Amino acid sequence: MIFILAIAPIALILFLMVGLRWGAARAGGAGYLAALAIAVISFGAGPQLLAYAHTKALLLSLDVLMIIWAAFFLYRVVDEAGAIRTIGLSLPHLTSDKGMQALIIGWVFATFLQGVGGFGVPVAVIAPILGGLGFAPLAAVVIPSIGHGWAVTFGSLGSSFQALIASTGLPGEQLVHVPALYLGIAGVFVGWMVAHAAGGFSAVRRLFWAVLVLGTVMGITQYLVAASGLWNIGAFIAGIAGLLAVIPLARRYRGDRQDNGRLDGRALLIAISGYAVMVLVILAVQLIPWLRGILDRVVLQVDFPEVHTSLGFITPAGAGRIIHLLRHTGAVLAYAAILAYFIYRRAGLYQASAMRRILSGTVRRVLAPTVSILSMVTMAAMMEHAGMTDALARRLAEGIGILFPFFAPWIGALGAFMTGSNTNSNVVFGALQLRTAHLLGLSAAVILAGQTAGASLASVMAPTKVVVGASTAGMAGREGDVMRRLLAYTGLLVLLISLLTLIGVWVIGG
Amino acid sequence: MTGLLKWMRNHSFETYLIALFLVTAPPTLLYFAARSGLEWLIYILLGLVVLGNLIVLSVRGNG
Repeated sequence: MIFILAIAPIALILFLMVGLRWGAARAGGAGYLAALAIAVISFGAGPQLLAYAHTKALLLSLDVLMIIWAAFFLYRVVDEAGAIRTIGLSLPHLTSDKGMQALIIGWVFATFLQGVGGFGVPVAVIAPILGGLGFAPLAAVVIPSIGHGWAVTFGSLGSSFQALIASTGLPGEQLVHVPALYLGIAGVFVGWMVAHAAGGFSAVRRLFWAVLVLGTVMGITQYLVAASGLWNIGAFIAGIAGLLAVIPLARRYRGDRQDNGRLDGRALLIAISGYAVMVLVILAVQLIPWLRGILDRVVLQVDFPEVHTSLGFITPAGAGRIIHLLRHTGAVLAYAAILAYFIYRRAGLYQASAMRRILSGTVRRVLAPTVSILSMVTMAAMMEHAGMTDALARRLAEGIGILFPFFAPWIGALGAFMTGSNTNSNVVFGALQLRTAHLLGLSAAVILAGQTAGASLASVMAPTKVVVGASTAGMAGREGDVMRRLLAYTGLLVLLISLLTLIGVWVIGG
Repeated sequence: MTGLLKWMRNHSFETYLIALFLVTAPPTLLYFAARSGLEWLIYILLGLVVLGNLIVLSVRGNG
């Protein structure tokens, strides 16, 4: 009964979005209300606990929303200048093969963007580009959603992997090898799925070797970079390696038209300067110590006291998430957007009142996603504080015993779906997975690899990310359609990680 | 009541703005209310967040 009650808010959101095709904001609101009622009535959550859970959720939401707002702003800055259209028009010069275009933009470029940005940025940026290239809106969202999933753990400048280290207390050198291997293998399957989403099984057959080559290059690169201790830039370097490898490959898959026309290099250069500026600003903030020092001065952090439910579930005291307001990825994206605006303005790409249209367009686009993210993150925080998440994971672990390695990735996936991120899933379930692995005498490195790899791949179908993708591709209100498509792909990928985790436990043992 | 619901459905942007205010402003104050042990204030603020989520439920279409 406890299990059913604990899972009810998540099941309700899934049912409303996938079954009744509700938008994420409405479904999130319903999930929030259900979680609140169950936390109070069945799990003994009191007013103080709920108050702190709400404040913590607001900070977690701010952490995500800053990036989403800035990503939309950057997208509007680039789009208003006509740069996305220019990039879209220039891609057929590389290849007119739709499947190959999907691989280049929706997989390789998505990996690169996940490496430098993350938090929904790849989907927010790429979905409109694919839409401009003539992909159906649903495919335009689904392709980059699947395409970046394999790069989440070592993307976002390593925040998810860092969270796994923090939540388990194990050294990164001990943890890094297995998830890098699992995600590298999954990356190849991701490529085939991107091809399938773009053109069905015929595209998979046609692009089989191209995917194998690109996937191997990116997977091995990510493994080598992460295993050498540079896990913060594992996906970023893998994305660059993929972009370099794709140029000769694209020549072999030029599509039906042998002559793809003349490329306007200057226009393309100005168009991509917005994203080039983004990369430069991110690298500058990461690599220039004095700049980092200045930006680190403004910090938002709140200390939370210990709280407990009337049933005795304790959430220990601790500092909330630290938000470096000026060095936050969202802030960095905003700097990039402002710089890009001036570059495009200098190039004469804007018409009158461009900034007003950029700002109003951004506000209108982000409003509903903002509300839905707040509702869902608050729901997750209440569930965590009330012991609902713990009850859920414990029942799953206790009930399945020796088969736990198979289910460990699904727990990670569940956490990512609920909280909207690989990072949060690792924070919520990392310690629990470690404890369970010890109790069952299993390799902690393998179980935790299952946790983070499952979370990485499933984070793409977290409602918060789906909302972002759907809204940038003109699919707002049709998030259920996107989730239905993603469910099949993501389910297969998490199943793959489950099998790899089982094999890992057999090979490595306890 | 019916008129209000109709207005909210026809003005989704304004409705989301109201909902956004209701789900963001109270959680900031909730921290201080909990620190001060003001349970009555916590209930009022939680009520506002619940109201914000109920308002979102009334908006069909986008989001």
